[in-house]
Amino acid sequence: MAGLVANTWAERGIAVFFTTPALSQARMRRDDGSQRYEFVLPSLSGGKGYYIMPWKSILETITTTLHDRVLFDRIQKHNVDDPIKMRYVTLDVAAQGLAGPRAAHKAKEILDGEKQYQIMTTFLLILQLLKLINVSPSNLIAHGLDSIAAQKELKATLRQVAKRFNVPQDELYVRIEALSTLIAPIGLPQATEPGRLRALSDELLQFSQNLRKWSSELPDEIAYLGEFEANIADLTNQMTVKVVANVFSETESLTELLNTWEKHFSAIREQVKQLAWLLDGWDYLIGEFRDAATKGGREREAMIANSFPLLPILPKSQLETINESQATTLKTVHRRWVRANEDWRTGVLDYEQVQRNETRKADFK
Amino acid sequence: MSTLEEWRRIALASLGLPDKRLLDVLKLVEQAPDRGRVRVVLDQIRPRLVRLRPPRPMTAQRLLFRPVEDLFDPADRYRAKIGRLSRTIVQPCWIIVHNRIEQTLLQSIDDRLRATDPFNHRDIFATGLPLWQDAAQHLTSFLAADTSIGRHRIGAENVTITEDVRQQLLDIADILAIAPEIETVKLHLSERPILGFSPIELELVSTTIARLAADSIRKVKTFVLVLLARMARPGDLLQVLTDLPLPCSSADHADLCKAVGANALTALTHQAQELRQHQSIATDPVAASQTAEQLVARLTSLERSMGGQRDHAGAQQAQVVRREIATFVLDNVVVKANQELFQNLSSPPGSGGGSAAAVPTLEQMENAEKAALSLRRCARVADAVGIRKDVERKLATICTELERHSPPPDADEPTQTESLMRLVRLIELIAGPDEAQRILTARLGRL
Repeated sequence: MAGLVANTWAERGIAVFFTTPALSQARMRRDDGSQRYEFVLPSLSGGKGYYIMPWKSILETITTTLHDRVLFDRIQKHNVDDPIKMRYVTLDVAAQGLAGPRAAHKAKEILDGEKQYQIMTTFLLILQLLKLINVSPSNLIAHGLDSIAAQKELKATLRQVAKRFNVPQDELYVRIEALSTLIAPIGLPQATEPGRLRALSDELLQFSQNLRKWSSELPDEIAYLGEFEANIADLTNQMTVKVVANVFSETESLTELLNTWEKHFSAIREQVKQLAWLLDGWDYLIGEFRDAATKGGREREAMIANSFPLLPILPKSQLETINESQATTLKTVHRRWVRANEDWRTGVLDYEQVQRNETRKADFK
Repeated sequence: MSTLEEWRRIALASLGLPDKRLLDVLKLVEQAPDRGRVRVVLDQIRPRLVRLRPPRPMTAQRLLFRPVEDLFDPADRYRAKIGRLSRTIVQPCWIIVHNRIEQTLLQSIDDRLRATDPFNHRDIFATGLPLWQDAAQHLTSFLAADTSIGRHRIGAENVTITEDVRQQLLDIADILAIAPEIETVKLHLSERPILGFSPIELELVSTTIARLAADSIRKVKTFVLVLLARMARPGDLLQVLTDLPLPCSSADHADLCKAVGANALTALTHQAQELRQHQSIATDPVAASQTAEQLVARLTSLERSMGGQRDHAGAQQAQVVRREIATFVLDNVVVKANQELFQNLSSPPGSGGGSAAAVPTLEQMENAEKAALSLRRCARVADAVGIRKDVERKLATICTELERHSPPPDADEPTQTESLMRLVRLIELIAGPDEAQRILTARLGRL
């Protein structure tokens, strides 16, 4: 059994979009000793605490979907250790169709959309570079971006930029590509749409505001849980806003960034990773919340109660959000509100519940 | 903006709005006094509403019947003396209540409801309290004073009272008398069908029964009968009733449990016998298999909780339910499963594979999955209704056919892999993940 609050990101683990009901949103982490993957599962049927199981034990105890078996296989192959890698592996497996046709369709759509968003980010970075050498983009696009004349013009202009920063031209391309890939989940401030993580961070605020509104209309005990969840969402949002601001300030001055590339690039990489950890697990909860928002009080109560064990509480290394006695009270309250689940050790997979988790993949951010 | 055509155009334009905005428009439109215009708008946006399922605006009349709504059957399916209510009772009952109740109370209730969020069950509950209390008294006094069979002039309306109408009105009066208890419990339990109780819900149900029992055992019976209609497994509630100490003799307690159980079993038998008449259920394998599964869950839980109390008649009723369900799923799901599944795949088995271009659409794949899941659902109830062999044979046939279904040979590798994954996915839904994994590993040489 594990506690409610982890010490570090690594101890909290990465939320996994498994489709087997008993494994839904299990958190994956490395075992302290063997460094093998293990999974933290919120206890079912309202029992106390959390279970920690290596994959082998999971296979022996629970009947898992083929999707989850393939997903774990890919996780191992790609040595997944952070939420960003986890997300790509998950989308890749879903796109193959093992989580159903709709999830496959959605995964492909997301992957395509992100490719487009990254191209747009690259384009915005290039525009920023052009400004540095006082070239107006209108010169380039006068003949259309795709025209040979424009491409020639662009290359010539980038040569000037590369020269100014004392960087080989090919290397400049590589850097811009690397930077746009890295920051696409956040996006640039001048982009018309925010990147997926920034959008998710904004949704946290909406989540907490609505949760508070619901809580004021629900019984005291469940309102207490709802209030706690709203607080965690707010605290997480406050931290994500700071991280996004840091990234924006890093990308604001491309001159500085390109001059001291290694230092700034790795700083941005750390910030993006931090943001991904901060928001890991929230997309699933926000999807649940959106569902409950169209329904009545009882579904909202159920959503608040069911979300509690999945709540991405900040680890102690980031922020102390909760003390021991508060944790005990919350756990007691939660147990009283959880309905008995089907026994997950019977070995029978309920594909209706599986489908529910597959639908949740559409809420991926 | 006054012609119906203009209203229709506005309705069409509003279809471009996001869900939340569309519901806002609906709210505004429903306040219009001209029902013809409201209907024009509703007709246009109905397909979206079916998906969004917005709460219907509450009126005093709807609020009055809220505590009894779980017992309503449409007129053509209603059967007397099994503790159910016909939808046709709404009108005479409303006429009686409307004629006797304070009009200012009705007006204030309508006013409050207009200003209440339809999701705010607590406010709706508070608004309903005086209505239910007054209506129960008026119905009781009407029945006590004027219960003769025949036509009655009530205000400007005629109401025909038959033996059955009288019984239904009595049942409604009994339910409205304990409406605060029923609605309080409903407020805290999950939506119907209730799958189980959390500790806090169990506590609420038990204390409510105990409180009503202190008043009268008849109230307990009414309460349990209403709540039973919400349960996925009515036996769970019967068990609560059996285990709970009640302030009556153990013989009376046993009689109560037996009566409630028998009532639930009779209603269930009636439901099962009617299954085949529901064309919308019978022609949809998903609905058919789900209904069968729900009925089996109800039956199994009832049998378990009734245990020794079940008599010969009860056992016979249970047999009827089993037989009806078995015939229903065999005819409407199992026999049709191959056709439902393979007509949605591009190249049926035996056709020598399809071309790369003939990839099933998203909708076709979803339909194929629905057929597979429906059959799987039948497998879950097969033992209980004695059709295990039939279902297993069908599952095995489909699985073999799927396995023979090769990916298009002329397609490139990603298309071949995608095609394989589609088949493996269907095999998983039919035969489970182990079989699907075996086939995937055999074909790819890896997982």
